[in-house]
Amino acid sequence: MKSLEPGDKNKQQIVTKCKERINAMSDANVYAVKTMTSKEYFAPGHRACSGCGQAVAVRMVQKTLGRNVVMASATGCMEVVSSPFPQSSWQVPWIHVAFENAAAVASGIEAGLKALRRKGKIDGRKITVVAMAGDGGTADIGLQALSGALERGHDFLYVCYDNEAYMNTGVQRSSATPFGAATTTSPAGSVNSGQLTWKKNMMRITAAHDIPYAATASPSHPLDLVNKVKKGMEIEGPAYLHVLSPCPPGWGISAENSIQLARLAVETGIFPLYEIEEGKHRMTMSTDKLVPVEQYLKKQGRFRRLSPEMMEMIQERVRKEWQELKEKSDLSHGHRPITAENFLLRSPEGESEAEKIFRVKAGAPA
Amino acid sequence: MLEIRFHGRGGQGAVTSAELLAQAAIEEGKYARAFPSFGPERRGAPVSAFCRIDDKPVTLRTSIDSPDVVVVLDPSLFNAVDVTRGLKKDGFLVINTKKESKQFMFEGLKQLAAVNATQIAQEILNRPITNTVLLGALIRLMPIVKVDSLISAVQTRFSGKIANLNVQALERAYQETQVLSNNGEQTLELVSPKNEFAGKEKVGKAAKEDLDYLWTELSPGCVVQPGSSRDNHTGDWRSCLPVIQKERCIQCGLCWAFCPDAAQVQKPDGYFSVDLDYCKGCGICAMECPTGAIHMEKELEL
Amino acid sequence: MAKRAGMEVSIAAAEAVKQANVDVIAAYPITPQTHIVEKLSEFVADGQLDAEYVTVESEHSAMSVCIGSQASGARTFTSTSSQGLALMSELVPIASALRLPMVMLLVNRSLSGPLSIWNDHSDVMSIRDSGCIQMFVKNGQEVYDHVFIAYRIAEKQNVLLPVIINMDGFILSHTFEPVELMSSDELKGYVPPYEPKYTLHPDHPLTMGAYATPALYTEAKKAHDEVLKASYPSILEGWESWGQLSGRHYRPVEELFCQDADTIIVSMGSLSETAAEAVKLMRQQGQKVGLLELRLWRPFPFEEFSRAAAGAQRLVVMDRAVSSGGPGGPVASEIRSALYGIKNPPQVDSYIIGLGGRNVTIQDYVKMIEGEKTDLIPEANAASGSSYEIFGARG
Repeated sequence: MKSLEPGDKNKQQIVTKCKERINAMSDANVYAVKTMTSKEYFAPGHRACSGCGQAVAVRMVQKTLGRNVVMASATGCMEVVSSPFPQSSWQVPWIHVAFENAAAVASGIEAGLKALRRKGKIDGRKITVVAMAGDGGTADIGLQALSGALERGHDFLYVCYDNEAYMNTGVQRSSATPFGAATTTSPAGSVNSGQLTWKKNMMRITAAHDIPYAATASPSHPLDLVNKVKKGMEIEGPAYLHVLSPCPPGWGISAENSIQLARLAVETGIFPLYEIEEGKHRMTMSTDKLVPVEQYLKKQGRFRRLSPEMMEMIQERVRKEWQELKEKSDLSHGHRPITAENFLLRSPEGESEAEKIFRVKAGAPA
Repeated sequence: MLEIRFHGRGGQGAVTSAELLAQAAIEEGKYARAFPSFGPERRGAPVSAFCRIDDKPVTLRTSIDSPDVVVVLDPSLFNAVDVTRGLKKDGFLVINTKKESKQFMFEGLKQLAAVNATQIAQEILNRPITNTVLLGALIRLMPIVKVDSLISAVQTRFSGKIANLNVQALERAYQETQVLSNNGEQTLELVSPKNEFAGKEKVGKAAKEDLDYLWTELSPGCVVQPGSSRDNHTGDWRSCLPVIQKERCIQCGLCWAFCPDAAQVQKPDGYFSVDLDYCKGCGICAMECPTGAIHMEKELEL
Repeated sequence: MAKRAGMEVSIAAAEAVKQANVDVIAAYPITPQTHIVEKLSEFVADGQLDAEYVTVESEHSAMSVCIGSQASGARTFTSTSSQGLALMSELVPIASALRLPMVMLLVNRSLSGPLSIWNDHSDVMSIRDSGCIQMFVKNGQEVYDHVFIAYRIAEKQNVLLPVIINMDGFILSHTFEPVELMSSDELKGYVPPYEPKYTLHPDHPLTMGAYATPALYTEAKKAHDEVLKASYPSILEGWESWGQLSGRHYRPVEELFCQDADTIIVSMGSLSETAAEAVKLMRQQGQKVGLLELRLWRPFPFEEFSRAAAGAQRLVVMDRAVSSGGPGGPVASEIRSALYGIKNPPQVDSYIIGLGGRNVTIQDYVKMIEGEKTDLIPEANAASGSSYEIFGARG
């Protein structure tokens, strides 16, 4: 194994930067990535924009779901970029029907497979049924179908990829667009500056259906995301996963920044990572101090016209919601950050291969 | 009637170019129509836009398949798209290049206009949006509309500082554009970077383009084979290329995990390498690499 | 052995769905469809039918669930009416384009507004062009029989299209009458196990519902159109083999006294039985009147229809929906097109009758036949817009 060249004048800088980065991620996400399968279930050649955050998230989710899965997709960016006839990026069975009904189509698939299994027409293995939709397909037009499917208790996982507007049709506002964000239908004008309503809270709405599992996840935190997808798959009954999906053209960021923005959304508390399991809240990312929201907002073109007052309103609301979430979490399971120590796939014999490679290559002491 | 086709990348303003030109012509009392190629193209993907100008009313609503003039906003498009497809014999080409313009001359082309539009845009607008720059080059090549009309169109479309900067860019391009007539020499030769992963599992089962299908060949319900998008090489969206310094790589795999296009591939020796067939050049890998082992380099022009 | 019993037609429909051994039912309650789905839930609750009954929150989700379950390879059933169909109508053409052979009992009811729970055909006319096989039935026995016939046709490998059976709301659905139920032994083999061509299963991954660019949409539509037209012999086969099994024979158009008739009434669904009585009465009075009952609506049986109608001088077409501002009732317009270009075509009079549950009596038929309406000829009166008459409207 080749380590850093001794003569490399940047060696110390690199090691420091490396350590900082991993510390900044505040958990062991860096170890997780290599435990994901090298198989691609979301094949390249798709037409997602350069630097699409949602494509990163979809790839990670599909890697975790594996091959024993049936997907039902709503109309939206991921549908359009992945399925122009005669090409498809899906390596697993996948169906698209319409915009507002991914949850209902998934319900039908689940019911169909269940009946066929019971009648001995297909073998008895468990097949994970997954519905996927954007924030518009989930929080707006698809809300009724989602609510129906959650209430009926189908055994399926619903993944909402939230890019915070109707990106597929050219960045129109949805109910998931954050306060202050400019979109083509909530433009920053001379009277109003961007979206004037607060983001619809899909976690509270889905959790109110008393489903066994609901969680937020971000592609910037792969380990956390992988764990949540796994839980959603394994749990009997409906599970809901809300994944933040930065959109370079829609958010007004450059392509290389989408993962960085997802990370900042988490670190500022704007998009807290947590889960609600059997009604119990648990925050899955530890942080003692939230990064000021300004650092997240000022990097994005959609918030360019945000006034200092609005910025402060956002900061205040984030603080309040973070506090509420923390209190809820404290009341139930308490705070349990994910670290290398409790990482599901880590070998029980101490140091994992990924850790070892990392340590040796980084030139860190043994 | 003059038919002009603009080639750009999603987000570069090819459609705006066509519209500004049409706007200028309409202001002069001429007739014009500008329209985009309708489709699900995404930011970075090659796109085209069209403009027809005439002294009589323009009535055609078909796409422009054999243009009189082709305008290419991005130098990297030469590797990605057949930009001169259908160009009329003795047609005109307007290009953005920092290279010597005569390299782009080919048989059948009457005149060529070349300008280093990326540099002008970068210096004046502070970003590589080259649409107004190339309009300056276009009207230097042929006075389709007056410079003043075009400036007025730019000022109608944009406001304040942005308008002024675009006018500056347009005027500078008008000055700096080199116009070259064909003297019979042919030099156009396209070279793409070599992809070490070329050919490996790249052929999906679709095997055909949509245009090749007869109705009798469609499967019931138009079912599609899995993973067939591998046939679609999105590498031609790229204008920048990630370059990996092996000695800095700790093989952590973050570049691979965070790649939207599964274009970082781990080789048997544990190091990662870029699959040029799919890398769109977004730069996430360079941004996320914890050891700074990856940096982005401009794709070769030719 | 077949068993003759008195029952509500909706219950006979549910019996048939049970005997067809469906795997998944998804339906949302709407009058007058409710008795069918209530009975089916009862069968599932009592273990008489081994199926998943998905109690959806809307008709939109009902059709979505049906698409999902049929795509997974399960035999699927749904039933709706009126506004329910309107809410589904986004998805019905998708179900047929995806070639999913589900069966829908459409209990016909007028579309709002004003709101009306009563019977006419405005609901089905709104999905005329959805690419499904569509047929009309006129009594309880036909409802019962056509559930099996529909599954046999729909699931054929060269068909694989949804089948919509139209039965009139209340007039049929809520009427108690004798129905002959087949035993499972008799039915055996008539509806063979469903063998889907493609399913959503990890063992053979594939993509359903890819979108078509302009380069391909036309070809996709052409393929769908051709398969719908080509389903015609399979539909005939379905009816023929059912005739052999049950002794009840069905044709795309059913004729009564058409051979020597000067005037032929064209009718669909439950009105045909009353119309038959009117025709018999007028025959007794020496009038050369016939009845042509259009059973198959899509694919339209051009050849059989033209042959049956060609000898008449006049067709009196009973439509149960208005194509407002158009050339006539939707069925009449279709028939005018079907007859275009034949030698000496009959005059086609378009009457809109029985809207929103309005009773249609024998006397009404007599009136329509006797009141020779030459002003309903579209060529003569196109400009005045009087090429059809909404029959019986006061004022």
